[in-house]
Amino acid sequence: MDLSVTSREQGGRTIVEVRGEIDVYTAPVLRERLNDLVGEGHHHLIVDMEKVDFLDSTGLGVLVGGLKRVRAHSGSLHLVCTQEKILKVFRITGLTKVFPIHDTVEAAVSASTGGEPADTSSPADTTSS
Amino acid sequence: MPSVHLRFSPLPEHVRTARLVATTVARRLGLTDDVLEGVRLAVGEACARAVQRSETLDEPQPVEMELWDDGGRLVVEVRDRAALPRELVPGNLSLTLLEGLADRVELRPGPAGPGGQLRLEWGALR
Repeated sequence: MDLSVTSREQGGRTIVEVRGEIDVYTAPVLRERLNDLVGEGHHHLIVDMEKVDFLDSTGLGVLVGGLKRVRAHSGSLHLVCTQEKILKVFRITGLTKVFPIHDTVEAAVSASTGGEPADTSSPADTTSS
Repeated sequence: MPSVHLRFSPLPEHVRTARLVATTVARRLGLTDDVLEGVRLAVGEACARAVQRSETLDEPQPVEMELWDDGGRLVVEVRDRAALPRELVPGNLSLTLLEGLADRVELRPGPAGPGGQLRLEWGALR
């Protein structure tokens, strides 16, 4: 499978782990998963990009769409990414100014919660690919 | 160096195929890894754009990609057969990426209309 998306709860936040390539063909899978999570009440998301091998503008669009969706519910969307080739995509498009990007899931959870109440919706330990 | 010419049905799943072909060809020209990553991404963007433009066609028409070594410069041309205005609406992010990745980006008229050919170049390879 070119792309897999799994999610789990950690520290009151929903961690979305993405593996594989996010491009024009696979991005709809990620879009659907993010939409489902928001629909289920998970408004504070942390998208872990560490196992993403490729990200194009369609993928960026899906992440921006996800950010807009959670914000409509006063939520947040943080990213975890240390891979230079992926960070470069955010940098070139100026999106490093739009997404908080962290080195680890722990750092992202910490920044995302920063004293705010935990997300009280039901756990989302699911897999889709 | 003889060129490589790939023609594929305008389907999103073939964009990855085009990326793989372009990366393989570019690697043989001795490009460094970070430039190669840029070629992979830029070619992906150009082909995805061509595929998305082609979705407006009644009958699917193939997208073409050609790569060659032009006296030390890698040249990639992606052509579609959509008869559309120069730019598709959500194109700005894509063109921004292209301009940040390739040394030169040129939009030209394609086989069927304006903006149907995207030419990307990367500078001296040796």
